[in-house]
Amino acid sequence: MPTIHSRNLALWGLLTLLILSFIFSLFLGRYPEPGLISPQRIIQDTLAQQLVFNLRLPRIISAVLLGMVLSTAGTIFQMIFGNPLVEPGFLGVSQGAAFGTAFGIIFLGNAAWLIQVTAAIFALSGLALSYFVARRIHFGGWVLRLVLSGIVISALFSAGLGILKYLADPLSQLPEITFWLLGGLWGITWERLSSISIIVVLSLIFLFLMRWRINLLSLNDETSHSLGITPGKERSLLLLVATIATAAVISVSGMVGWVGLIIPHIARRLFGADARYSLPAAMLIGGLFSLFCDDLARVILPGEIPLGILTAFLGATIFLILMIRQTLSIPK
Amino acid sequence: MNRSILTFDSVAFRYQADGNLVLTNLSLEIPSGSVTSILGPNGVGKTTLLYLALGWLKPHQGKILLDDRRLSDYSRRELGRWMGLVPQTEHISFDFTLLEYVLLGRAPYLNPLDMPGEVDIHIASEALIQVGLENLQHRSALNLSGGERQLLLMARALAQQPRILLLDEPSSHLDLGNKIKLINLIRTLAQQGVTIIFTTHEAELASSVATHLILIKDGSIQETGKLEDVLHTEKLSALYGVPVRVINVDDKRVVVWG
Repeated sequence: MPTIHSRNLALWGLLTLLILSFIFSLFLGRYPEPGLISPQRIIQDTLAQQLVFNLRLPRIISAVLLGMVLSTAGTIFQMIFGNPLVEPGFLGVSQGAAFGTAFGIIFLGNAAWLIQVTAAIFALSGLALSYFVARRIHFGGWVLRLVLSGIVISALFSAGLGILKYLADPLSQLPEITFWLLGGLWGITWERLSSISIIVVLSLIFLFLMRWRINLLSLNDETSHSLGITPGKERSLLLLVATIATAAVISVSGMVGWVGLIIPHIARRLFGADARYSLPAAMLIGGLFSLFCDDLARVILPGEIPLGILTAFLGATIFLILMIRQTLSIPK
Repeated sequence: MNRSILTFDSVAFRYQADGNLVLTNLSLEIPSGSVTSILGPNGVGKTTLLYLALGWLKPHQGKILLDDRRLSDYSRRELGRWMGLVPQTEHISFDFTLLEYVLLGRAPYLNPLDMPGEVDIHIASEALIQVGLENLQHRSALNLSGGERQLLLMARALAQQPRILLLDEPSSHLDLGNKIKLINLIRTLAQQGVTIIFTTHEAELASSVATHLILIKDGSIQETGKLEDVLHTEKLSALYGVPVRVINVDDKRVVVWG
């Protein structure tokens, strides 16, 4: 295991890399031609200025926040459930958001903010339903009950989504639902970013400050009780904050999978399990990963590739490599 | 006799509101500074009794007093400073280093947003030295043997600097060498004034280190008192329902069976 000093150093290194990638991404795009735009051009060309500051900048910030939130939430879910195979989509959150979006597109017209709100509401209701169903199950431990009810609630929402897709207008509404399900940041504006930024940033700060505590919540109930904490309450609070932040980002990005699953694994592999290091590492690596994928999504083809496809492709590939190289440690 | 630090007064407990009583009308006093062994066959409620003392389970009837105050009047953090638990087993899901794992024992002294500091790290390292795992402190807790894992859990409880240490079947995964280490460690802690309560189904462990004994069967207490008053052939035979003998070897009481 690396020493404390080297882990701190590596975290600062990651932060520096993220800042450099951020600046690099600002210059990267397909205007005036695919590749990097020169600083002189930005100074002289008003169209370039508009492009960089009104389209690229909010989009790059969103990409970083998206990756940070999904990876942080993934770390928290995995630690709290003591299971390295869970992610934020796990308690009915993603399927709830997907259902909410389709519902908004079909019944509430085309207002982006309205769709965003319904996505967030249904994502949270996915969590709430999973929670209340879990409380009513009379067998098994708390984690097993939440897992089971999460699976059932997700299945119900996904059945509901199927019905909505069947009802949707195949020429206008269905493509829109499909694009949202594929995930992407092409629709980001300052306005949409600012609608979620406060809640997202506050959640990230709170979860970052709680990072040592998260270790304690990965212990079983009687042990964490004996260490003077109230495991049920604190776990629910952390899950709620992580879910709210996740619901907020996916309400603007659509479904972006695999980030919340794969990045916490990589962070733990590099920095050890202690969330004092693995949580900030997951945040930074998640931001980098999602920024990198979004850069590819923007630049590779003249038409944009949906971000969710790229994260799924890269995420699944990395997961495959980790599995085959047997560096993935999953307790039996 | 020392005053009672932990008192059970007519305590009854059941796991489900309409279920059977696991413990019935249980009254006992744990003298301060004693090493008390809760001895009895498997499945009679020994662990339940320990978890009641810890405040993790709440009695259905009766009351539990810690230092003459009701257990329910203490905050969780206060209880975390008073009592440390060494569970029988614990599933470790992630590869924490030993030092990181033991550091978790400092939680009752830290606010929710605090990080453990130099002092906490020092105390955690000392706890690892006490159980003899200091050479492994930067190794992964996932790669420990059963015995080492038990010592690790012990170290975490020691990092809590508890006044009462609760151990659930502490010798269940230990070989002879580690058992003797455990016994010596319990003796050292008792000398430092820590009250120790441990459950066991092994009469040998109880006879070698306990000062007081509680015999428990079918959810109620059969005998309680000083070791020399309780550890007798007839009482143990009645407890286990099979003939055992308590004999003296080199001034020590030894339990033999068969």
